Order: sequence, then C-alpha cells, then structure tokens
Amino acid sequence: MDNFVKIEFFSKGENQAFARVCASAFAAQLDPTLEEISDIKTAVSEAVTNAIIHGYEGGEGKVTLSMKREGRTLTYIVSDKGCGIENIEQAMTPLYTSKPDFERSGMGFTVMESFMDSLFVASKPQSGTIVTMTKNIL
Amino acid sequence: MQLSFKKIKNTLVITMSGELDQHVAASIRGELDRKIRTSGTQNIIFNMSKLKFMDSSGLGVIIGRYKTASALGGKTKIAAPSAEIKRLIKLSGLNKIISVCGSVETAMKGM
Repeated sequence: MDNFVKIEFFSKGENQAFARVCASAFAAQLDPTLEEISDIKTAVSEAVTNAIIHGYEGGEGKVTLSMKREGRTLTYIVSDKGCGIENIEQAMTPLYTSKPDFERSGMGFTVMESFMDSLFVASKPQSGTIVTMTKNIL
Repeated sequence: MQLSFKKIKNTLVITMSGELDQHVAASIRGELDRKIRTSGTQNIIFNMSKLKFMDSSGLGVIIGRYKTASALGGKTKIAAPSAEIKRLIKLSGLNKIISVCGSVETAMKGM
C-alpha cells in the first residue's frame, strides 16, 4: 500500500460534503481528470448518504471513510455500524428504494457501480454495512 | 445551496447554485413546493448552470417536482447541466421523461 487515510465522523447530513472533499483531496495525489474526480465525489457521496439515512435511519452513529492508494488504484471504503441490509441484491437493483416517501431515486448503488471500477457490498442485519469501491486513475 | 426563482409567463425558472446532495435536498423540498404552489405557473425549468455537484438525491428532488408540475398539467425541463450532472441524468433515464436543454432560452421553447 502506498498511502492510507482513515476518517470517522458523525452520521450528520452536513458531513456528506465533508466526505466528498476528503475523497477528492485524497485522489488529487494521482493528478486525476475532472471527470475522475467527479466520479469519486459522486460515488462517495452516495455511499455516505446510504450510511446516514439507511444505516442509521437518520439517527446517531459513526461513519468511517478509509482511503487507500496502491499504484494508480484508489480504494474507498465507507462503513457504518447501523441496521445493515437484509437483501443486498434487492438493494442494488436500479430504482429500488426502501424509502419511497423520502423521494429517494433508488439509484445510489447503480451510480457507485457505474462511476467506479469496482463495487463490493458486505452487510449483516443489525451489525452494519461496508461498501468498498475502487477507481483506477489513468 | 442557493435557490433563485424567476417567473416567465407560465413557467417558473428555478436556478440552483452550489451542491445538491441528500442533506440539501431535505431542506429545499419544502421551499420548492411552496414556490411552485404560490407562483401560479404550470411549468418548471431547473436551471443548473450554476450547480456544481449533484448526486442521486438531486434526481429525487427533480422527480418529485416533475410529479407536482405534471399534476398541474405542466411540463418540466432541465437547462444547462454540467457534463457530470448530465451523465447522472442519462444513467438514471430521467432524460426520457424530462427534456434536457443547453440553456434556459432553449428550454423555454414549447413551454
């Protein structure tokens, strides 16, 4: 591993923007394009949003963002110790949302999958969720 | 996030500045709905020329207001999104139900 940063923050909405800034600042060491930066910011924003509104359901908790660099590959890991996901396959289906009343588009995982090079989701009900995403910077 | 509103004939042009994520979305929905209800207009144009960032929470905001405008018999259009936001819109398929135009002037055509 060439570099590693880990930050932990409360599951507050205002920290979504903070997480995006951290994610793009970490990527900056590889001199990415604006498009690559935008992809990372959007994907991390989706993962952090999920942790806050689905993992902790708007309540209090801690979200961790770990960032690793190995060569030209960046890995972002967003984890929470919230309620977890019962059915990961269903949660990752485009347009599926467990919170239709909150005007969720159901596109969060689809965006992460499309904008990053890989996406892996591990979750256990009542234990939490770990979202791991990688991005190869060309 | 800053919102500004301009009424052009039967259309409410909503200019969004800054970043639109879930945190912001939760706080602007009420303001948008109030403005749409009281403006006396049917159509909505989201002017995104000053919007620097949007994630899928923003798509939810647009879809929600699209439903409101449709219930009033009006149209909804998106004007001047950045290349990154346009990609998100296309990925979601939102562009199949809401026209995406290069500028507010272009979006006003047919309103």
